[in-house]
Amino acid sequence: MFDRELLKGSIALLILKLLSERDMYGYEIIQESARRSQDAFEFKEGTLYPALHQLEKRGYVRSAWRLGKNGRQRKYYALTGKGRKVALEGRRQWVSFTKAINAILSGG
Amino acid sequence: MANDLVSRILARARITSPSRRSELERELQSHLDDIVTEMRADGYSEVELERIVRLRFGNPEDIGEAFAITYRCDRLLYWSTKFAALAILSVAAVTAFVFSLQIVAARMTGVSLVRAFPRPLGEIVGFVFLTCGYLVTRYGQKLFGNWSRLLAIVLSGFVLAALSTLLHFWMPSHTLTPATVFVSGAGFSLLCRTRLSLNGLVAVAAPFLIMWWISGPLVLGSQHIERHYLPFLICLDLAVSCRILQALADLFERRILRYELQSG
Repeated sequence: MFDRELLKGSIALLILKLLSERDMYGYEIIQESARRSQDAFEFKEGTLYPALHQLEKRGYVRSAWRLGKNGRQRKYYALTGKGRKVALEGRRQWVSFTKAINAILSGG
Repeated sequence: MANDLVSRILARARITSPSRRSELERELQSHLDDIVTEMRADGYSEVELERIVRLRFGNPEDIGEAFAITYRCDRLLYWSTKFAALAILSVAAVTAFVFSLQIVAARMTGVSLVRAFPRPLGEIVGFVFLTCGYLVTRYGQKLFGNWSRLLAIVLSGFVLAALSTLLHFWMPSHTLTPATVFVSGAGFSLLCRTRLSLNGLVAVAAPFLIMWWISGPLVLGSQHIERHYLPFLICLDLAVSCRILQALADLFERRILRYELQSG
């Protein structure tokens, strides 16, 4: 598990990245992030849902109730055009940021 | 278990839109159903299931607070609209009451309506100030937990200063009477909690009579009314107006105020 403070700024980016691939509902986002990080990273419900609602308010994602795979209604989140731009920009910044941090940490 | 968790989150979230609130409830409930289905399939017992759900969700109050922050602007807009409606309705009710009295008095004393209403706009400005004085002080006391009265007085002072400054630019020579009735309204709110009492009458009358005594007539009266009676009649008028404001605010709280006013 990672330090909560370390993750704080990257939650929105992770959600936007996952949603840029396909529409997902909350539970699916949690499962998918755990799967991809091999359980090293797992969203807590209490972090994910307020973040999703915040992104929706900002117009980065939109939501709609749809029938899920097991026949149950679920609230799916999808990226908007604005959200796609923010996701791309966020990713670019993240890559530069981690590159700079790595350069310092590796002593080179 | 799930209902308790969701209802605690919703209670803290203070989402004002019923549709958004029920949608969030549905979303969280659906999420909990997913967890429960998966864990039951994995063979977890009900006790383990409850423990893990609580662990995964975290503190419901914290989650609710996170939603409260997300929907802060909506809440602000909601309450602003409701309070603006209450304020407009209150001013209208007081105006209707006082103007009706003036019309009846004019009819009874044979004074023409033109003379009975020498400055109707100025009067309405006074009603606005009276309403603001009452409402700001009343809800200031509800808004602040500790030192509520003192802080409500400070808040009222700021609002009075702001309103008086605005009025000074608009009607430079007519600031004193509205400012005095603002203080009367605020005083009534501070001292008259339940019904029209002697405290309430004194709270309304004291600022008005003191200013009348210091600076001369604050309100122009009809020549048919004995000069000495006029300030007392006006004070009685103001006290009943404050009682109307109180009744409307009570009704507003009973019927419309569904969530407790909280400083957050």
